Amino acid sequence: MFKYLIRRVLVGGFVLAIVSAIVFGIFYILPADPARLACGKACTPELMDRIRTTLELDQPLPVQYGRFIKGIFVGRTYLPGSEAELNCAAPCLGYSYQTDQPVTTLLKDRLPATLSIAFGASILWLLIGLSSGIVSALRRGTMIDKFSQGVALGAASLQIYFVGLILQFIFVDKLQILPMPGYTSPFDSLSEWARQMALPWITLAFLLSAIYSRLTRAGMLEVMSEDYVRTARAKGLSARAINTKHVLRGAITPIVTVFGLDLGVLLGGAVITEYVFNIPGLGKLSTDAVANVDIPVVTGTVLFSAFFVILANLIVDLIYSALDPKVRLA
Amino acid sequence: MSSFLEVKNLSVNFKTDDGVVKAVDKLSFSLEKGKSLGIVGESGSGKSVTSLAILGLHKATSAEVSGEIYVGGVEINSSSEAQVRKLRGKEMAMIFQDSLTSLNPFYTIGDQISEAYLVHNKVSNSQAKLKAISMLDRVGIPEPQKRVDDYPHQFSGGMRQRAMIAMALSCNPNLIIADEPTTALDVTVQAQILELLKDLQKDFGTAIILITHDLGVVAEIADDVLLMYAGKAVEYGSVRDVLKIPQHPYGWGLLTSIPRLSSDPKKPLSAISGTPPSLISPPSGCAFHPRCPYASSTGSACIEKVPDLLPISPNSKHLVRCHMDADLRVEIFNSQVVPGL
Repeated sequence: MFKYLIRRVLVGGFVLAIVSAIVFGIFYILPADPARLACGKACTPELMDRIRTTLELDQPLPVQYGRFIKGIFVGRTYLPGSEAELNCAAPCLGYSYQTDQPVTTLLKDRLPATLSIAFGASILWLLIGLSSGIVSALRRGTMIDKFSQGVALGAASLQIYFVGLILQFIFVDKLQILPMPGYTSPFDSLSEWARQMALPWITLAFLLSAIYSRLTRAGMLEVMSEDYVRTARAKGLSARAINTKHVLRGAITPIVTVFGLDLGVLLGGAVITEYVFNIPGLGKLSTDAVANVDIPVVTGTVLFSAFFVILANLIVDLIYSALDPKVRLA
Repeated sequence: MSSFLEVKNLSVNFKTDDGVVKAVDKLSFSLEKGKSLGIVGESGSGKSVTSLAILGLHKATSAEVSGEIYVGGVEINSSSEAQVRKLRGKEMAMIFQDSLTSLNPFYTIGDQISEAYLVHNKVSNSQAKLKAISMLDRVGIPEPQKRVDDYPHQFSGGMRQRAMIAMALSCNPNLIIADEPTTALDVTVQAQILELLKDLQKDFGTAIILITHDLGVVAEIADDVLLMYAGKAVEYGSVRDVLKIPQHPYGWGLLTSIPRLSSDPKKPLSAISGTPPSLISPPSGCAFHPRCPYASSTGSACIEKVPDLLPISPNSKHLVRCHMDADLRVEIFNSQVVPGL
């Protein structure tokens, strides 16, 4: 088990290294000149040269990449020895071309909004998706089942930017019962945080609970036809005991897997949701950075989301081994 | 006094898009405590459907069950699911065919045996676990204290089947239905399992219904045998009578299909020709007539009229569903079937 963890962490690090190399490589074969991008509006050739030296853009690409990676672990010093010496503490991902802020600071500032969206929405969609899926499976073929699966099918085919804007129009513009979505720290005002987050949560949960509802229903129906459920009935177990102890238990494993991966992706930034509702999270940060060709920020956000996906995968595998006795980690 | 298990005119139909499947058609039999009945027939002859009906497991499905099933005096068909549930496990239990899929892969063997015990007994979890250990010990699992915490996939096929038996026996039921309990097992393990069932029957006085397509297993363990074809009983009697002089051509076919070590290895294995009949539109007359080599001996009766299940001679308990004359059947058996055995 311990060995397994070590191996997975090493493999995860290896994947991150590859991801970073690819992102790093892509941006440096772009026709855009990083020095020009970092230079801003009032740019002179002298300034651009200075930037080139400062950012070490005059070095060969492998050297730049090596220093970038080294910066993540031990920090980095630009223009060492000169009076303009600039210390970037580990983990250093460089400075934004746009705002000159350290990328790590940007990520740290944007993370809470993304965490709020991801965890709030996932609790909501798990509640709605699982319960409606369970009811549908238990009442298979009834009006309830047809209704909830009909809604689910419709919802699963909708898009966030459609549902989100409609909801915003209804709740913010017309009914005026919710403020414009945004981010307030829950430590400042819990109610304001929840009210501003409500629409992103509902929108994401609406679409994702549809998928989870269908997944739950299909999984439960599949397990219901398993021989071991028949055995449970033959033992004289009550329907409730059979459904919770045997059916739900059998259906939950694939749901946990999908959930872990969904959450991992979401933690890297609920890109479309944040964009639609203009919420200052990681997704918004990365889309803005892409639009502005803010290379260090793009690299940072991509690495950060890759990290979450890898972490989520690892956690899912660990949970999986706890849920399924046939899976042994080795 | 009536028997512990009485099945009267049991029919089970399944409605499908292609028509009604008559899986079991007016089946009647009975079984006393401490006795064994072998139900024999090929796949699709209605054996398993019958056993599920006895446990009332067709309730809450689309199957239509008619007729009467008395288990210890309680009629199953007219009872509610809640009433039948109290009998399941306690009065009647089932050992299923495929022990790997019939045990829940997510719970330990011990959990699953205790679960069966806990449903019908007010005991603590630890007491139920002790019961599970003692049941595993009883069915011959070595080191039961240790193996009780194993998952089904950690058991061998034979051990899983033993665990299934332990589970079925945990509440000391009066009736056990074993649905092909040895089909998936090695021959040596088969013999051990059958021996175990016989032993347990002696100890607990359980009535056993053994569903199988293996006449050898029936000869080993059963007191009575019921031969089924296309949902109907075609022959019913004591093992001694039925296996000594089987009266139905289908039984002959089954007997001659058994490969023997003494037979000529170059001779092809004999089999009943044709395929099992459709249960949606079964053949006219006797359902076996398209596959029966002797159907023409009765003129057109076999094609036109469904034969009744009748005693082979007045007052005999050996029943057969065949238009042929009793003397003719004995003659054909002795002259044509016996030489092939």
